[in-house]
Amino acid sequence: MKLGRLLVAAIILILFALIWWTADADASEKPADEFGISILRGAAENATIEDVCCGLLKDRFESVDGRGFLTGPDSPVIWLRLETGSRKGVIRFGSFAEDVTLYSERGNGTGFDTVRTGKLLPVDQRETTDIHASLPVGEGAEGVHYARINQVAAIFMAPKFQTREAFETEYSRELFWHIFLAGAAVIMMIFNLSLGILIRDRLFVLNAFSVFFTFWNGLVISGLGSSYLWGNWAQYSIGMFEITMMLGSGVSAIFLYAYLDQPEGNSRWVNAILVFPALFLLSFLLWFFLPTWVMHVLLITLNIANTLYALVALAVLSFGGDRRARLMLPTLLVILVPGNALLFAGSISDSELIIPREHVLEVMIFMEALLFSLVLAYRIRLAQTDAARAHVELNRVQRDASRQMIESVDADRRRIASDLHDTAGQGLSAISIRLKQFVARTRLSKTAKSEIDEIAAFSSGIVGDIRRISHELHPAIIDHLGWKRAIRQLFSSLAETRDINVDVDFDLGDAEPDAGQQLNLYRIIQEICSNIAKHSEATECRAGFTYANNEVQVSIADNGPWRQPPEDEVVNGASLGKVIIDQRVRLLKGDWSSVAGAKGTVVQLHFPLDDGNG
Amino acid sequence: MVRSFKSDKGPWFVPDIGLGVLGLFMPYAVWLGGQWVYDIPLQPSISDYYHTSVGTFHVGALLAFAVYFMVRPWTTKQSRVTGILIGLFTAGAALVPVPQCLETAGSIARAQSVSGLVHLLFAFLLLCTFAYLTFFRFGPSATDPELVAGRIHNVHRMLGTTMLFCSLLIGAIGLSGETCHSPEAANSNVFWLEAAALSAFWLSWLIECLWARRSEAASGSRN
Repeated sequence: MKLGRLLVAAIILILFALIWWTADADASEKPADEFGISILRGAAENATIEDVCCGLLKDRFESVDGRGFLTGPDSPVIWLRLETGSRKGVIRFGSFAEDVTLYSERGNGTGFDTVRTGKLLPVDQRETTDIHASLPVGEGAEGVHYARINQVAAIFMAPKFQTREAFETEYSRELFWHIFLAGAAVIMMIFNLSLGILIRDRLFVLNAFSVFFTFWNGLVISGLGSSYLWGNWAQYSIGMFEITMMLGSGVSAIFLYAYLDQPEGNSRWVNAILVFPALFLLSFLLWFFLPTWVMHVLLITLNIANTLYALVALAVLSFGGDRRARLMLPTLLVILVPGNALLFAGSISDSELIIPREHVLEVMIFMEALLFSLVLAYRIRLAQTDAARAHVELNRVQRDASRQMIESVDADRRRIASDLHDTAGQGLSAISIRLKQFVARTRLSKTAKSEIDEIAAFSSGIVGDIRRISHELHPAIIDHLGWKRAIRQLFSSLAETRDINVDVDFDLGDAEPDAGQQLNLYRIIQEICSNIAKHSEATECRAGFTYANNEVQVSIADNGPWRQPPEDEVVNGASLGKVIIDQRVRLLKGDWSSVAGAKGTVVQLHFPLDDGNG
Repeated sequence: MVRSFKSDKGPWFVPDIGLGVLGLFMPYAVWLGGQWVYDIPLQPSISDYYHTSVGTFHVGALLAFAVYFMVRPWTTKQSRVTGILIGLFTAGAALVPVPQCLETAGSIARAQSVSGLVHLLFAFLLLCTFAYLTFFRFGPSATDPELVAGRIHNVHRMLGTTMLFCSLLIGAIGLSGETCHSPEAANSNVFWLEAAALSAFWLSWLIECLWARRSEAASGSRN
């Protein structure tokens, strides 16, 4: 348990160290100090490079303060003037760039070299394969470049200039982390899906779906998807962002609902979670009637509301004592808070140390897949613990019920035995004595005397029968002679009635079962003796009673071949005798076994001495 | 008749209705939205919108149906299997596009033809499983009065028959003509047949949702 928690904590720490390290490593490749950016917004869509560099628009550029600028759906076409000086290298526009064309003025003043890329362009129209829209500044450039950016999505863009060596090092490292983290997330997805199907647990499948769509969303945002997976259908990237966000959030909400769903009924907090999938589905219909940026704002708002509601609902349920919510709440916080805090800090801060990278998103997706899987696995363990606890409770209830039933039967037997002995037995004895007195006092014919003597003898016989029945109903002999002698008498009776050589040995020292245990043990031995008498043809029987490790151990062996009990003595596949012994042994909190074969039967049982009646 | 809906799970009513409304209006949304917002003429079939600006909406809605049918809980094993099949067929129809008419030859043309046939197969199987759901899994509950139960049955049967009839006609048209449709084609019979079949199913779905809810409430009040 503690080891598992330590392992999870170690994984989380490693992941965050990884986020920090990648962010820090990227930040170490700082853009050149002299990299100047000016921006021109509101140019006509069909404005040319000549209009921008040398025409009426050239004086409308404004200097960009801080790290960068915001692109926006209100003016998707933006022109940039980039001054890199005489150095050669690469200008990077970021992975969100949808369509960027870089114009570098040739040294001899004969025009511009152009390079175009962006994630919304089909692969064959991209002039670099880099996912970050990185455009090389050529040898012939004069140090002033212009970039035309056509960007519908609203993002914060921070172009930077790097030497080719620095760019290549960073590019290789980023690609490695993309592949590593994406691969890990894919493995977790496959693992969840396979496990869900194998153990028929819908939650693992839902987790796989949820991670899949979030992962797809990440591929859209990072540009990896349009670069390497659906480059020929790149025009769908914007739509894919909306679809995957709707599906990812919708399935996540369904996952959370299914996770918290209780068979006996849910609270309103849980039921209300399913409102969000409905809202995501209905938001599809608004697609045509809302401008793209409004649709984006709507979806992001719905997504944030969905997440916040999940956190509030989990907090409420956790305070209400829901163990599953208590497990999920910190997990969700661990997935959401540090990553989003890093993204938020990066968006408001100029510090190069906390510039967020798309790895943050990837790490969050991977953590979602990993930690939710661990939560689900732990949930199974919780269910197993609950089931084990319920099993123990059920056993206890069964034992109590069985004990109460047997005690009630014993009490009834004792009462009936006492009544029989005190009324019928005593009455018949009195009749027998009175008859004998009557015969002694009165002159009777021989015939009458003989008749009365027969009646008296018959009456005495009935008295004997009543005593035997009374004794079987309640072994008063235990009270009178002690339990050991009572048990010895059972074996003696077996020896007399069936002509069996019996050897009984008690080696219990000072151990003494309590009254309830004595009665149960007596009944068990009575049943075993009855079985030997009825179902075996034994000639030898050895019984041993020993005491060791606070347990009484009993062993009874005979040499008679085992025979199938008659059908009328079989209940649910077990003989009636076995059922009775089972119940009594359970009352003793002990265990027993019976091994029967052609050479005889050995019955062994043991039970603890303390607290025998539970 | 066994209900497919897990009517004892009240909260699913909300997304069920959301899905039903989206499904009912989806064909008309691509048609009208495409025409008004993007000036896209009525296409020969719903699937042809894949290659237009509303293709993303079309694919997204189909994927939403697919995912929802696969993750939603069902009361019976048959319904659960049907839900998974519908999910797979819908995802197949969404992700394997109907070919666009281009001046292509050789392997590309053949691939397009195969893609068209696969799409047609997925779409046909999808409509058939929809019809199965309507005919055999939707219906009145055991507690409904006989007269009402008969009417509900008849409505579902009528809608199921409409779906089957439309599906067979779509299949026949698809197999008799070329699988590569022309966006400029004036004939949009397949579109209207698909719209009618889908509307019939989603109407049946919404009736089942609402009736399951009502029966559950009535049963609850009786108890």
